[in-house]
Amino acid sequence: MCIRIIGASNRRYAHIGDVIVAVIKEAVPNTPLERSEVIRAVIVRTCKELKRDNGMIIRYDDNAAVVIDQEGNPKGTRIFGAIPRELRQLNFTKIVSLAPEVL
Amino acid sequence: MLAALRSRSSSSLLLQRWRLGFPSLHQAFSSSAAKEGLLDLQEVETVLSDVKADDVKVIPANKHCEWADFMVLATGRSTWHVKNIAQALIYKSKQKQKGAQRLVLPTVEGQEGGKWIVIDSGKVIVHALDENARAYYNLETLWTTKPSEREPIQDLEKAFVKVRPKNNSKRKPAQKCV
Repeated sequence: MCIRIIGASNRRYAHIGDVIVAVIKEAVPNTPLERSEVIRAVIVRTCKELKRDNGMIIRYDDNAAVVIDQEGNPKGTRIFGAIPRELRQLNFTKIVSLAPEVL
Repeated sequence: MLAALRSRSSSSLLLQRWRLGFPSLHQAFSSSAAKEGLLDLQEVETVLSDVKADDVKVIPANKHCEWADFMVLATGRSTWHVKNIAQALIYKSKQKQKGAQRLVLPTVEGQEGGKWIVIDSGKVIVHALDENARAYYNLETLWTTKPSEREPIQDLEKAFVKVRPKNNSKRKPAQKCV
């Protein structure tokens, strides 16, 4: 669950490429992340459409974020699913280089 | 109906072309950027050997992702060393563009931490990692083993080609007329 968008003042919704502070509501057992832990994450996929300048519109089937630490390194070692290439322009090259597919 | 089918298949072809068209566009962009002064592979390698980065590995990443041509991995002995690798690469690109009106600098990510710094200079992407981080993220295996990851995408292409079942209710009267 999202608590706060970093670098935004009183914005209600986060979009792709935003860093959020979030709390873990549900976790798989025996993982480094536990329930009710406060983390930082980058939004990588949204159901809400993402518009590009060339008229293309991208939307995904799910909302997804990648958990990062304070320095911007991803907590996990692998990323699943497609990633928009806007993240590279927003300086999340680490996440883009771990992703299996870049749209 | 047949016309409709044809249009469907052509649309899927278009879609594929659209997908293929993108990397070429991107490469054109990156090659023009290289002319302007972003680092190319030889320069990166010389800089990395100058700063004595350990275990430099160059992986051609064309097949893995279309947004970059080469991934360069380098290990630093400490966080200072990793930071120095990044600084040396930035210095080199500044030296290259000396006297230019506008500097085009590579984007750098993770410079404060010093565990994993990515220097993104167009088509060559340099990852300077700590030893622990390198073992943890294990980027070599990610980029060298690919064919297994390609399979779900082939399934996706099949899904696009899939055509609706024929609607025979409208076709029968047409046959009677002929």
